[in-house]
Amino acid sequence: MNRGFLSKGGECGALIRSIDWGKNHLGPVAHWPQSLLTTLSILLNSKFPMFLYWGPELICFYNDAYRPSLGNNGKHPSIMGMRAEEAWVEIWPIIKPLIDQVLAGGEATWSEDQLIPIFRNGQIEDVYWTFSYSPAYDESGQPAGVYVTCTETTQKVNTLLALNDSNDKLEFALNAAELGTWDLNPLTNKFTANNRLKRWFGLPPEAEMDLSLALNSILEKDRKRVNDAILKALDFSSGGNYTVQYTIVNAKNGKERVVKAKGKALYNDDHIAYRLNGTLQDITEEIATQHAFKESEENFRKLILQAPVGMIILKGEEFFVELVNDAYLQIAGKTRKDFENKPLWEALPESKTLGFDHILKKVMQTGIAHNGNEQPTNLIRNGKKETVFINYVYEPLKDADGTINRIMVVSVDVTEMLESKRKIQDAEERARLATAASGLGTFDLDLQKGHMNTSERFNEIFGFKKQVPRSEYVNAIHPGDHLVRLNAHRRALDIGQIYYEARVIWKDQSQHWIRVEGKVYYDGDGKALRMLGTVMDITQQRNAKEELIQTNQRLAIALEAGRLGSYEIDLNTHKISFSEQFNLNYGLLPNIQISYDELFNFIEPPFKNEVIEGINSAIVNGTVYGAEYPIHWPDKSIHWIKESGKAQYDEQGNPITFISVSFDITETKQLQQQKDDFIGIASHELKTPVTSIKAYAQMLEKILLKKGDVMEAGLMKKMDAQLNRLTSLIGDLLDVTKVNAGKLQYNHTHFDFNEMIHFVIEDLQHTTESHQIMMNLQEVGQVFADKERVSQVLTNLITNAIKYSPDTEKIIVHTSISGENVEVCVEDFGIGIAEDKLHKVFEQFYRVSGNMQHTFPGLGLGLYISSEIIKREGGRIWVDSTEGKGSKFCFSIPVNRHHY
Amino acid sequence: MNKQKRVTVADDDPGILDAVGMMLEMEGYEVNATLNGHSILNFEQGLPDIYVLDIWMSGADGRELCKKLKSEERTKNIPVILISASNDLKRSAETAGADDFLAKPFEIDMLLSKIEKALTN
Repeated sequence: MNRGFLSKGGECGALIRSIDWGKNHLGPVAHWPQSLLTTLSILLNSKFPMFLYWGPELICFYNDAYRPSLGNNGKHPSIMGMRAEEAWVEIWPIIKPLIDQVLAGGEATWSEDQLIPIFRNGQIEDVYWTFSYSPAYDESGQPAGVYVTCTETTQKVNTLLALNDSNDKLEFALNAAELGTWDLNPLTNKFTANNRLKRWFGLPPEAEMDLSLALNSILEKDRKRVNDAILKALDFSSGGNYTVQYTIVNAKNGKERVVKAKGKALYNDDHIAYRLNGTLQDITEEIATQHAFKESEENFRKLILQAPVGMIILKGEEFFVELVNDAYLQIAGKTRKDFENKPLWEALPESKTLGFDHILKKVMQTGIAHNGNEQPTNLIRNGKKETVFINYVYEPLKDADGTINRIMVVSVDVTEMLESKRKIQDAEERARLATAASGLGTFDLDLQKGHMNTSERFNEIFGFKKQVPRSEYVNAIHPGDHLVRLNAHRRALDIGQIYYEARVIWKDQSQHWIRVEGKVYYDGDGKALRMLGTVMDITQQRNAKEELIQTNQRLAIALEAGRLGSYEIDLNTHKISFSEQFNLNYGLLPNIQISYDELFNFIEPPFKNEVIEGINSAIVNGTVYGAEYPIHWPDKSIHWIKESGKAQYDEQGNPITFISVSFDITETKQLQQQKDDFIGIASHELKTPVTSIKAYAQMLEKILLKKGDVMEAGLMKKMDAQLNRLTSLIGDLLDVTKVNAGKLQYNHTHFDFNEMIHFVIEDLQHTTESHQIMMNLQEVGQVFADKERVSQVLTNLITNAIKYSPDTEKIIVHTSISGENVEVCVEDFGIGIAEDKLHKVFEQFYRVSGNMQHTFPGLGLGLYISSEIIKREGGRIWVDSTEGKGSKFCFSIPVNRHHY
Repeated sequence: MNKQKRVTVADDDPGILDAVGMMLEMEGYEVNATLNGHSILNFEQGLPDIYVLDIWMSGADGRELCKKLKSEERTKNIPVILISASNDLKRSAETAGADDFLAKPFEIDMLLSKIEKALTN
């Protein structure tokens, strides 16, 4: 096989040789058709750049001449032998149709200076080509490939582009000049103008012109003036300079233009002008700007005159008053006449020496504004010399040409403002004093910069002697409260207010509680600017609170130690909460909850209503409730509970809760029961021997009387009386035991009340010779009560009356009806009872002590038993007494006690 | 004087029994005094004209005795006076059918008048 064609072909030939074609679509070189070999041979040996696409896959080949077009870092050498579609990815859409056209048997293509960007030199480059695609035939005469001859024309194209570009720029410059050019021949009046000028006049470029046509384009009011200027320029003596400004009108669209004409006349030797030519410049906008400037100047003057602050315009080195407004005149206390068109210091001679002259001169020289604040100025106003405070600005004014020849003085009388400010400062000072007095520290935090001003007290509360950087205050806060502070600050930015309590640790490690309260202030845009607020030392309050908690804990311990159960009823919801001990006292498991109603079901039925009534009455009357009652535990055992409670009320006095403590007194009750049983049995047993002694004594008395031994019989009678006293004492003991145990028995019957009184008095009258018991009875009639017990009370009262009136004889018993009650009083005229002891007489074991001469024996049980009996009868008992004058003991009971 | 009236007195306290017995004999009654309450239900020695019985006796309750006497045809018309150291028993005495009640310690005259009154009725 002859591969000689490949032995030449330069670099690209070598490249083709180096490729392992066995792996290519074309297959090994040995199998290549002769037509390909021939074509390649021509291609590789040509000095003209050539490229070949061969076969169905359009495999790429190119020669050394083509190689430079591929650039560096581009497609060479990788596309040699590559499929065209892969090799020319970026331009495939452009060249594919050309290839197809050629392969389809079409004509060869020809493209000149065509832009086909390709990848080379590491980038996509704009490359211009002139190229031709033509078919390469195989042995059968069919197109088997595309033969490309091409030259890169990028450089040529770029040169051409650059030339066009510079032409454009020239055109642009010409247009940008915006000048019309004109040329007048005064001798012929021929007028030539450039196209721009003709356009301005509304004429076509080819139009011929003369001077009159040009003059007719000028606005009528300007025409004569222009004509005069032309004539003047044509006059040799004028020097030939022509400058005039006027307005022209576009004949076509009526558009007006202000133009500035400049020209020069040329003269012949006879001083006759033969040519006047020059330019025309459109200055419409310039003029409009000048007008606008004038207008704004006018507006500025008006503004000054109407300004609410004092304004004055000074002009020139002498500071002539060019303009002054009323506000300024008012501040200065002068009239317009004093100022207008005069040098400033002529109008204000009193101020010249204060250094203002120097300042004004400096402003004029340097162009730098000067301002003064709260400048005290002495003025004569309304004929009086006054000191006013002025804020002022000296503002240099630039004229249209940029020079400074004028100064605008703005001055504001801030005398009143200063006065207000002083008042505010006073108020602030007072507020500061007030906060200091209340122990509040204050702070003012700049939320933009983070600076904080604090009052002395604020520093003190944080444990500092003087103001310190903000971070030190923050660091003084207890680590455990940092988050509290941080959250409060975050929240403050949302809601505009801050509030938190935290601990502060002083340098000496002591802990203090503080409360911070404050408010955020915003600017017009709602941006937070400042936070003002107070800080208060609440250590004591906090300690008190903690102490309260401790006290509560101690109370809880005390309750527990005393086995005191407690409960609390919410009177609105009837919700009830118990302490653990309460449950223990009721025989319940600690976590069992019971309702208000269930609570009462624990109480033994005979006591239940009494307990409920007692609690309700305590709630209504605001009194302390107390009761003892038996309950049955869930295991049926009986336990005695002693309970006391009290309601809590809201500010309107409505009851809110009822709080009660109770404890188990079963053991006490049992002991009491044993004691009562013992007394009961003892007094019963005592009665037995007394009965027989009494019988013997009475028998003996009878015997002695029969024998006529009167004195001895008298002794026996006295002995019998003493036995009666003994009996009565035993009876009292027994009764009091029964009263305490609630076992006093009642036997209610209907009886004639006054008859009972008669009977008792008659009986008692027998036992005394010293006293006369008198009756003052109203008709009472039948009463439903325990006759025996009421008799017992009356007996007790009369016995007492006798006992405590040893030196008087009279005792009066009164009865009367008062409403539905019968009232009984026993009146004596004895020793009486001291006022401070009156309320004690119905207490158990209380005994009235007399003076040295009188001591009164007794157990002190009688009135107690009587009062208990009357209470059980649904009545009341009371006493009126004057010490040394006597007592009046009374009781009243219902005439018809309701059966229950 | 009419035929001597017979009084049966029962009390477990010998002192009271002695004093009351002596007293009634002095007043001309024929007294049958006993410490044992139950013995009064033994009618072999004949029936008394009136019973005076203590309520709380060791081994016997006067009220129970009274009920028995009042339920027996032979004795139901014989008056019974119950006595007790406890004032509160008056009612239960009445319930038991007693004709009268007397609390200890009592006046002898009171006892005598109650006996007389009961016998008269």
